[in-house]
Amino acid sequence: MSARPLAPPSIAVLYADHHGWLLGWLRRKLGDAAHAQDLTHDTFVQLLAARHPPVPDNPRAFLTTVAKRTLFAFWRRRDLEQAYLDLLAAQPQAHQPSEEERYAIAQALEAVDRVLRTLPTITRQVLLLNQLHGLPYREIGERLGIAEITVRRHMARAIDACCALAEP
Amino acid sequence: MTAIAPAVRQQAIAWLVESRSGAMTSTQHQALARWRSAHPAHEAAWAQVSGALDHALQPLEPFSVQGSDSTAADAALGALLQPDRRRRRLVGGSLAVAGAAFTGLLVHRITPLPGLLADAHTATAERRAINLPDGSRLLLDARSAVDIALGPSTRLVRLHQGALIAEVATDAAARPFAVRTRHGETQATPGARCMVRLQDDRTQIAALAQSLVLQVPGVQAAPPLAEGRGAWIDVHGTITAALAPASDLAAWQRGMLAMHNGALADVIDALRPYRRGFIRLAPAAARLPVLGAFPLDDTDHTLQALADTLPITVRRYQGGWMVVIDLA
Repeated sequence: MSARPLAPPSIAVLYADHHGWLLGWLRRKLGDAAHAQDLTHDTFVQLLAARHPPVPDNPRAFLTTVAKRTLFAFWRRRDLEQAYLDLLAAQPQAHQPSEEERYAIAQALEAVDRVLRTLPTITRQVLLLNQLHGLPYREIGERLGIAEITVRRHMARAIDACCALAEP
Repeated sequence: MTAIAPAVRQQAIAWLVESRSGAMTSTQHQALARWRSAHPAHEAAWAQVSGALDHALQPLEPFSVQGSDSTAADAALGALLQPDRRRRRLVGGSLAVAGAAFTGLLVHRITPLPGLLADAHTATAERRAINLPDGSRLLLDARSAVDIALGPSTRLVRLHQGALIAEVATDAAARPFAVRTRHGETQATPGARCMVRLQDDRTQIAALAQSLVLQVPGVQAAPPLAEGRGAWIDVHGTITAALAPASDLAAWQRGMLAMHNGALADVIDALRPYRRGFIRLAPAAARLPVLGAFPLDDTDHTLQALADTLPITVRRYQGGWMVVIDLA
């Protein structure tokens, strides 16, 4: 693939030629027409938002690649939201969020997941216990059965990941 | 964003790890303050690293433990520990090709909290008066942080975050009194009262009693700021007169916000230190002009008053922990 910038007219052409095909591809993956419409739209929005999208030699292969990313993001978001709701439902005294709140919750979880997903589970756990639950390292170490020095190493790694993502 | 030397960044990360340990001693606090002030690059690295961490985790603020209620925090923790099974299965194909960045839908202001490490700081919605050993008095606005250095020949207050009002006492040793921010220094004589507010890109100063001298490093002294007037020092060291009178700029001392020719974004910025959780303001609504006086201590009331008078919708989530303001 070459790295020439894709001018907006090319995206318009891409859209006109392959929109219907992409919709069909996504509908088959999802088994749901309404979501497929949304994700087709998201896929083209992403193409427009990308600063230097590669020009596809094979437009359908290229579209599939971008659409897959959209699809993974959609699935991941749904998994995060569902896991949150399941965990909340397991605590009978918890407030059950409304439809609107669920949207905000999914947004927030997805945003943080983007930062954390490259990190090992234990590193995520250390970071969240410290930042979300406000636990000191000693207590995190006790809870996870690791030494305090290890807790520090995980924190450093997590902070490093946050910085990497914040860079332009 | 300026490039930070990797070694300095590693030091900043090490300090940040230390500062979040929950067991930092006052000696370590002082050592960190010394490290940060030792070189501008240190402070810049600190701001960048702590800002990145806060920025990354800010979406989770509504899920924080509230009192003894950790249900939302526990559920969020559990959800975020889930491995991404689908991605794992399919990654390694041609996925990395597209390079299209997923733009975050939530745009957050970076709110670093260097204040936790300063000599004195105030919490959200807290104003506090501090008596200094020389008889001077400070009033700290909500979410503010200062370091106080009374040396043999100077009296210096460093404002790291938020705002303060200083009442300068006559000093037996006749030491000059100054409030310093990263943008410049406000010098006040005995009997003076001044307000200094640090924002991301500028420092606001108001002369409440007596005139003040504003000093920007490397720039020739400007004419004194007359009593009753306000001014700004920006990142370039340029001093601009404020349109609002000094008393309006200091209205927060009575728990009020006075707006003459401001925008909604200014009001929301002023409310943030008074509200737990976060407020998201749509860019389209940010520039709406706002006029009036608003109570800071009752942010729900103020948000309602704004919703009643402006073409906006104010939605509350998570029991008010997240507020989303959009153009109606």
